[in-house]
Amino acid sequence: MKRSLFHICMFSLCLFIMGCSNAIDTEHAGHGHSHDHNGHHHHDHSGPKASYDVLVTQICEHRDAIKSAFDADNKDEAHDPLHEIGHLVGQLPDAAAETDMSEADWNQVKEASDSLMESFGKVDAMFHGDDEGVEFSEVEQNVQDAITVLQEKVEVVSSANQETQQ
Amino acid sequence: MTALFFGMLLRLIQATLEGAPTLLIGVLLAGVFRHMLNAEGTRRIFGNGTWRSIPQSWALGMLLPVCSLGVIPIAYEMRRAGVSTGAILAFALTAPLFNPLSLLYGLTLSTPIIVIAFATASLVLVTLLGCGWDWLFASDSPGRSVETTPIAPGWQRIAGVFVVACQYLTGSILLYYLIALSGNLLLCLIFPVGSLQSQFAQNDPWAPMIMLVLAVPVYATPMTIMSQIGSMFVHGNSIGAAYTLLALGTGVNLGLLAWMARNHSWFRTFVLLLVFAGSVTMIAYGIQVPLSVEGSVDHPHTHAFDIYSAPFESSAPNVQWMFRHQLAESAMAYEQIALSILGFMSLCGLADRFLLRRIDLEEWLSRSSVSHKSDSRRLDLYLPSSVLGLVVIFGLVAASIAGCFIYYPPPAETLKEMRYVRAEAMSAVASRDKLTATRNLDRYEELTRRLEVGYYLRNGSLSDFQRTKCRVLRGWLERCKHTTEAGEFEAAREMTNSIFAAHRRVREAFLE
Repeated sequence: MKRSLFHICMFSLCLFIMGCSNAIDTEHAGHGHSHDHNGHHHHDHSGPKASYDVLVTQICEHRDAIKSAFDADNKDEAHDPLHEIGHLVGQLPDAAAETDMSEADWNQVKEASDSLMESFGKVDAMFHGDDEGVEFSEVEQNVQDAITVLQEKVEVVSSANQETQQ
Repeated sequence: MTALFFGMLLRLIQATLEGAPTLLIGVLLAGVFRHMLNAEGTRRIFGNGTWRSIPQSWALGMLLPVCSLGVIPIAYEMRRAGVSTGAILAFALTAPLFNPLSLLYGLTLSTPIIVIAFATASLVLVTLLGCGWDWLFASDSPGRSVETTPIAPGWQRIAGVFVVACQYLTGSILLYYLIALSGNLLLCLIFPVGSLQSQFAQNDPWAPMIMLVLAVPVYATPMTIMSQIGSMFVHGNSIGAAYTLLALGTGVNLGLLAWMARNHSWFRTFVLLLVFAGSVTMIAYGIQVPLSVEGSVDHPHTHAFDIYSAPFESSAPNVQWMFRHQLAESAMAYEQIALSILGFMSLCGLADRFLLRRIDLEEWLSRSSVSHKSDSRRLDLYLPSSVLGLVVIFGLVAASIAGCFIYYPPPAETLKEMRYVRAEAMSAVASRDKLTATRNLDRYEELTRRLEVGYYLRNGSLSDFQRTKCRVLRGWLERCKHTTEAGEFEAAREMTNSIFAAHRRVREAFLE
């Protein structure tokens, strides 16, 4: 548990140091804009962050990119997607809370997000020369299990939306 | 020039109103210390001469609902009773840091562990400072230990408490209150309109230093500071700056420093401030990265500190109208009541000082109470003043805990109020009334915090699910507020559906 917490903290720290410059693809993130008033520059305060289903799709894409890089033994190419996926995973609980999923479903999403953060944190640790860093293959199953949970909840949300519309 | 004058006047009145309730408690407590606990009882309650003196002082300070203005009369009384300076320091610096209301509020912030870490760091620091002072300046402590003629039980003793409270609202002590409040005027001169809105970004290495410049002279109540820290968390602002604001902004003000300097030399006070501010800054930079929090909005821009900068542009038209509008907006009913009571007590104090200057009221009350004997002893039990003093102090603690249940009502009640405030906010957005909209959006946001605390108080826990639902709603309210402030009313109106949906989810999370 302590070790998990350590990996999550280290991964978060890396994300913080890296900054948000390459963090999130804003293509799907609503109509963000920036402007000035009173001489102060404002950023993106009109648009919502990415929705839950969009986030899950993006996480899957980044997971695939990381896996491909490791499979091709081209690990350096996995480093950027690894940091980007951290930002995406970090947004999952709030994005899930913007849907009508039940508390039990939301708790599963939260658990899956924590699990993803821990797994990718371990892989990231390898890039930073940490002894406890691991290859992607060692956490692949955990990642897959967590993503399966997230995808199940996408279906829960979409069927709930359909019911509401009907 | 008109803008500057009205701006400074506004800040002075706002700070006075804000501090009135806690100053009232402070002066009454000073009276209780003198006539109910007496010097001996006061020394005992602060554990004078024992190893637990300093922790006991800050523990008591944290339980009493006073601010850095309200601790000045208490510090006077502690010194008069002969309490050590280390214990006075510990009390004066921690009493305003937290009170039950602000602590509960702090615990609902997105990362309550950070608030607990802030509190622990501050308490350790204050303990070290108090011990260091007593050790270095042993000859300086304890204070003068002035014994007061005891007043026997009865109405005379209650009148004695009132007389002391009134005395603490006139004379030289007023100067310290004014010096404390003048800190806000100074800030108003230093920081132009809106200049503090983007100063505390998480990745800005200067953020804790800028906050240091603000936090030392500023006077604010614990609740105000805690809500500003909440806003800093929402905006993902510098965590080091947030800690600096809490440790120095609530605990220190210019009046308290002036009082220290008057009693313990300017040099020692300067060294104390240097060591305290230096230690806080080091801790602030130490926690800046490890404790950083990601905000729920995408920009560090915040209006939480606007109350410390100049309120009006020098070229602004209708300054007097804006002055009246902002004053009416910020003056709470309970603050006005407290200020009225303080005004009445000041008049009583002035009457005592100038009209009755030949009569020592305390002496007279003491003499007249000696002849008083009860005829019905079984009903009119004699209670020692120390018991009464303790009952008053712990009664105040109990009252502030009970006050928490009133200030943080049951969730159903808060949700009902949130509905009304939402209606006002969204209709103001629709009718392009910027001032009303932002005021109601602020109020709406504050109610989400009250909802969390109210639920926590009654159920003993708050789930991550509930916290997140509230955070999401606050995120929308923040975005709507900033968009409204930018004059983009159409964009703000587009958020109405999202705000309604987030509100509904909050209601379901708390009521189902």
